[in-house]
Amino acid sequence: MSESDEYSSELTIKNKLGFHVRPIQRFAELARAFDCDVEVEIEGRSASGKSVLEMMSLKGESGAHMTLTCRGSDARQGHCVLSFLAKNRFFVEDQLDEELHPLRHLRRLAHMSACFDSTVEVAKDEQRVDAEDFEALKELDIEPRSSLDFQIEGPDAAQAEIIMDNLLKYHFYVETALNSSVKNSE
Amino acid sequence: MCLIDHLDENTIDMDLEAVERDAALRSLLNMAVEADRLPEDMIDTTLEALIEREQLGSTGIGNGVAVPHARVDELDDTAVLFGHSETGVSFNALDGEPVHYIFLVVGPEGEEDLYAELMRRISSLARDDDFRHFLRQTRNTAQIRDLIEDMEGVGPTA
Repeated sequence: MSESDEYSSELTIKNKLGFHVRPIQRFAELARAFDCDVEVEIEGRSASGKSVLEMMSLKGESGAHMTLTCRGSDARQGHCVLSFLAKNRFFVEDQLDEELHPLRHLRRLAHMSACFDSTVEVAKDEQRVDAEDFEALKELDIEPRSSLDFQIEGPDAAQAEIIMDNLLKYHFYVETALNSSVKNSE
Repeated sequence: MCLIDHLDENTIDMDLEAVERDAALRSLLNMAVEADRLPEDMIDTTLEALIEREQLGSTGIGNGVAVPHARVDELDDTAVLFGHSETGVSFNALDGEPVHYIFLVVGPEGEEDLYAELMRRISSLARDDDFRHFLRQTRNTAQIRDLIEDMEGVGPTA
């Protein structure tokens, strides 16, 4: 592990409600997959990106600037996953003025897979493709709630597995799919 | 704006019996109806909104605290309810621990600022070791109110 591994980026919080409970919870859950330190700074106050409680006391209002810094052995991968989440409004989908891309779940999968050195393969109905390959994912006809198998091999497989598990668990954070799953179960 | 302004003896339940999330939420909403903070015919809609919100990610924020919340268009006012469970409620919290303190917040659309401020105050309290230490020693709703009032008075976000 090299302490000199540091990745940092700045972004603007675009969520209507700001950096609120749902973005924070998601961010922390994914941040915990990594060994690196994750620091979130908003308007001069900083918090551990792995602590929901610490981040909730930041004043992350809509329009505020956020600096995300990852330090440690898997900082590159952590920064790649977390900055993608943050730049995409933490996958919160309740802004009524936006049009959501119907294949956003596949973009999320492809992008997050590409953050890792490991090869991430995804299988559905006995067909297997590289999860970084957006076009190949489209061919597989994956729905947000499809059941999928992952095969992950490489140096950062442990972290990649946790991220993929989260994507599956939350149906790729496609919130309409999440909500309809509640209704169906009642 | 203080959290304490939104809590009184009628909106604090010292002994939540439910050990499952949904039952605990329903019991708090029933209390809200008794306290005249929620119309009775809104219980089911509100509960459904809270459960939908949990499905997007647990509001168990750690340290035994959960902040279930939802916005429901048909509501007129924001209501805050507090429940304490000795046994703990399973809430799927990020740290895997059962939840002993539930701050439930429901309100209409358009009160986002109030909402966000309440959440910040609750999370500041939840982070505070002293608060949790003293909370465990409280025996009645008046003591809880006093404690929250004290802590908000000296807290970092006050």
